[in-house]
Amino acid sequence: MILTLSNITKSIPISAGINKKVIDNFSIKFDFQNSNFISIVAPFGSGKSTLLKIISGLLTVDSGKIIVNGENYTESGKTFIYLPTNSISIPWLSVEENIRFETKKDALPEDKVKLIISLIGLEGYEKHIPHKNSYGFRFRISLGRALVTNPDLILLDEPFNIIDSVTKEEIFQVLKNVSRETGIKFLLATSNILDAMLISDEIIILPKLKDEVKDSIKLVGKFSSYNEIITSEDLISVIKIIQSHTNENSGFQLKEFSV
Amino acid sequence: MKLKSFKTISIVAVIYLILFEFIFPSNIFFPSVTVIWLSIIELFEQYNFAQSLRSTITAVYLTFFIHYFITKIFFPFIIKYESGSFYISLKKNFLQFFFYTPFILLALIIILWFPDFIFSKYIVALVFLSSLCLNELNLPNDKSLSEYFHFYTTIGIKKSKIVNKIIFTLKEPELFQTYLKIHPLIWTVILLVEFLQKKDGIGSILKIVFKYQDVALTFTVMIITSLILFLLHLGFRKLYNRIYFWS
Repeated sequence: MILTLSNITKSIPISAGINKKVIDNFSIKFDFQNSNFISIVAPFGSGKSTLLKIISGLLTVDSGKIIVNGENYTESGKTFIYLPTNSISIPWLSVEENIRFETKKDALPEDKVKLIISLIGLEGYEKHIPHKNSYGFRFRISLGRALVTNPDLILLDEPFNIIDSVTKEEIFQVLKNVSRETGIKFLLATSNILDAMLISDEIIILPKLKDEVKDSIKLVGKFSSYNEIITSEDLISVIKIIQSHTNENSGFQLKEFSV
Repeated sequence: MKLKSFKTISIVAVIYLILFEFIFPSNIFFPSVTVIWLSIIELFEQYNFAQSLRSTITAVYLTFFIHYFITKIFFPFIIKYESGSFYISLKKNFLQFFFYTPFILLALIIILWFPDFIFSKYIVALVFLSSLCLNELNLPNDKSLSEYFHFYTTIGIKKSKIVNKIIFTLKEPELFQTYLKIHPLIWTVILLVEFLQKKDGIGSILKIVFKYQDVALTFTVMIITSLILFLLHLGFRKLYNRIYFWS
């Protein structure tokens, strides 16, 4: 799957009659043919969420096109799911009830529910209602609900910000497993360089005002833990690449990213 | 009730008993326990207190039920129009106005309009309750709620279902908490309307008692009402913890 955003411009109203341009005539190509995970790495407050909401169809653009495999997104028949920052599993429902939420019994057979629960690593927890602060657990449930719709692409809008690193490592393994078993692609928006390196096949670095792609880094070596990244040469080279784009006109500083 | 609270209440009761039963039995401020006991009997036998209590409790909690269902019905519209200039203007300039209106005046006007109308107290309490709960359902600043919208929209669930089945339920604990905080206030409003209207309820008993300046009976009504309110509050808190265990 190749997802292309062509000359996208988007303004957002910040107060009555005043609009702020968050994306300015921006073009980008996400090539998922050889990558299952692509990360957009950009500083805080740079409109990453807006970009993902545009791709998922939640926001309309002022101008520009979203093209999937050469077709308009709406005509492509592809399903993109947006997974936001906060945990959005329904807190009063159990794992299974969340996955079955607003689905018809015929459309979601028992086997599929079991498969989804095993994919998200929650076997044995079908009847469990997680605590509202179990963010990792609740993220898995949301992921499970997303899988019911057989999506082609899941857009992850910094959902790992409030999850501790040990849980994140587990979740990244779950995501990789889901992708391997189902072929679903993931696009992660983050300001965290380590998260991007741990999960991605490719990292795309964007400036604050989205007008051009600063760089695209293909990660050859795969990491399974933060420890591996910290002790690897790749981290230094990624940071050096980001640093090389940092100047007066770059629209971002290294300190605006997190690790 | 915790053992510590029970102990404190018991100690206060014993001190009261010693002070006003034995040391100052005849004072004009605090009736002795014997007088309170006799007043209780009088209240139930001569003033038909049980029926009045039933009438007041029904008025208070039925008002909450009505408010809850009105909120539930109008919730999709509130969400749809809350950012619109008309709704903001309506809320700021009209509904908020009632928040600053002393409710006794509002109560007086409604009673003067409908002197014999049995539901006058419901109307006053409902208006008062609505003005107090006006800001409880504010959504624009609630980022997590909009994220529910985003996710469930992309998985193909209709907006009306997201609103009714998820967003409203997510807001329910806040609403219930507000109800818990303000139900003693609604009791005051209902008692006042009953007092002014003199038709039914505990307020109407208070009107008669007040006419005869019977401190002991007023005191007894106060103790019984406070005790009932306190027990109801404990019950509702337990109910809250049971229903909204997830919040």
